[in-house]
Amino acid sequence: MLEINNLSLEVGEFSLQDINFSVTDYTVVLGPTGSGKSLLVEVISGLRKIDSGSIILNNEDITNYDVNKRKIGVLLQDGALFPHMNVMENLKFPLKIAKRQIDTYEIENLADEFGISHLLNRTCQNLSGGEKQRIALLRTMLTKPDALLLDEPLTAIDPSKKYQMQIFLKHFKSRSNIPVIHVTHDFEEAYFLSDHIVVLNNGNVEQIGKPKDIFRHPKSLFVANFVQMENILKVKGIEEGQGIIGNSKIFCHIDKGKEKMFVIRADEIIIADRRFKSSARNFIKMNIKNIYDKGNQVLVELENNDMFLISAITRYSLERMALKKGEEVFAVFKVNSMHSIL
Amino acid sequence: MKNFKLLLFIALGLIGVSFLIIPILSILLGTPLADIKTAILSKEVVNSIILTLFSGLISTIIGIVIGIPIAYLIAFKDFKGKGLLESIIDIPVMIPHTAAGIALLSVFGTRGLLGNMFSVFGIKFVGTIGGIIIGMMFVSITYLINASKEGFKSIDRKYIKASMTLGANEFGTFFHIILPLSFKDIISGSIMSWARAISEFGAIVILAYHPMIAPVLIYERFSTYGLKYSRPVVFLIITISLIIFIILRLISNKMKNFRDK
Repeated sequence: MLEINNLSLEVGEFSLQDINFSVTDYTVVLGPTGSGKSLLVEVISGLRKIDSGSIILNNEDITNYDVNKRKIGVLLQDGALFPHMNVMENLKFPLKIAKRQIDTYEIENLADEFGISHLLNRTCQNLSGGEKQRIALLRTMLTKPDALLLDEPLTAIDPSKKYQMQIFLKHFKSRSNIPVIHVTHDFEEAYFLSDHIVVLNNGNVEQIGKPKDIFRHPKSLFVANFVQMENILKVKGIEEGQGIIGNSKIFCHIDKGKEKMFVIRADEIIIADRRFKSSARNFIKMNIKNIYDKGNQVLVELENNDMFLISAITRYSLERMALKKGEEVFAVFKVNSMHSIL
Repeated sequence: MKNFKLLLFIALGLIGVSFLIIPILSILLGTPLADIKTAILSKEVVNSIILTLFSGLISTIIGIVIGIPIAYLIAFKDFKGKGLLESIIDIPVMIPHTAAGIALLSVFGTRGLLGNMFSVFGIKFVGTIGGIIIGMMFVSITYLINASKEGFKSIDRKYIKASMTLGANEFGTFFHIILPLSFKDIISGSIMSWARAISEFGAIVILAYHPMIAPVLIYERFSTYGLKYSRPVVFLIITISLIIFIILRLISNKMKNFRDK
């Protein structure tokens, strides 16, 4: 287990502030550019010293250990394969440094598992982004680390090959039994790969949770925006359990006189052409502003004088209901689909 | 108008190239063969050329040993007085070399601080190969340090980070990663340093007139016997230096520059 306790660091105008989380599985640190992700990788790996706090790996305090003594493997953005060595020499490097016996047969077997055995005698120039990352990951794993840091491992990979690499990492994850911290700004990548997500914003941890929790129940406006939450509503409580946006009444978990922000995923808003008996309590009359066919789903923009909503429906529903721009419909959603944020 | 500007640039360029090449060609083409033959057979000339090349080589090797750690510190470490250190390294390029000779004499002369200290071990600098090497090193080490420093600075830090996270300490990273990745710059700086060393006259003529290196021999022959007697020595030193320089440049150009990849 890798534990980050009260970690703080100031670098110029930027600071990591009181970071706390522990990792036993595949955890993705998710955040936009400038949120402090790379700095976090540097301090956990030991490339940079921290001002305060501690880093514990398997019950051992490694806070003051030098980078080469931490037993934390690091995969840098584009793999950072040494250009003056060929692929095999790159793979042998950590063994040579550790003065461990180099078993070429073992390296060839592992290279086969990583799908890079045909590259062993190649120079590191002209390799694809995915190949470089696989080689670099194997090179890191040859150090036999107790934890692994992956710093934006898919950023330098061609978009068409990204999926393959994600699948590769998913397989890798199922085989490895060490804590992994994968840093990225890509929410879909985080959702696909992680067991847990730590959302980082401006040097602070915004939210920690399972991917579904982060995706469905963002706890702050920042997280909601970052995970591309389609609907964010500001509701004023008029009585317990009922609020108002403009003149539209909304059933939600709210107290009288309080103001709250709620988020709703687009796929939790259904579209109906009339009122019907339902467990969903919110039926809001709206007009269709736009319809966008996104291939795997259809996004329908709805508006009235008080609010703007986005609903995600299937193409089959669109065709069955014969929805058209300007048409009057009901946006229907449950109280429990509305999650309040701070 | 555009063509005129281009022609003007070509014309000015040609003047510049001619300015550099004509004096060299006048020596290479205008020295009588018989004089060259006599110079080749002269022990004094041959010894002075060998001494020049050898002293230049030794001064460059010592320069590498001393200069590379300085370049490393400047490139990778932050410390107080770094700017001052960089300025100090550039001093030999700025001051007249005769002045450098006087300064070196006052330190390495028999009554100088270091000269006195070394004389205890029987090492003297005035009028010895030691003095020649000291003089050469003083005027040439700047080129080596600066080229190595630039080479170190241009290495992508990700390779250094990768090396350290793969278990290498600073020393291991230096030898396995930094040195090979900046090898071309170090070689380039060494060639420049060696070239500067073998062409030095001012500092050496004051510190070690004897044994005579080629530039001092040329000066002596010119001042004592005139142009005719100094030209064959100039011919030989230019020819030999050019051949060595071209070979070294060809080798260094063939080396891979990993930063271009």
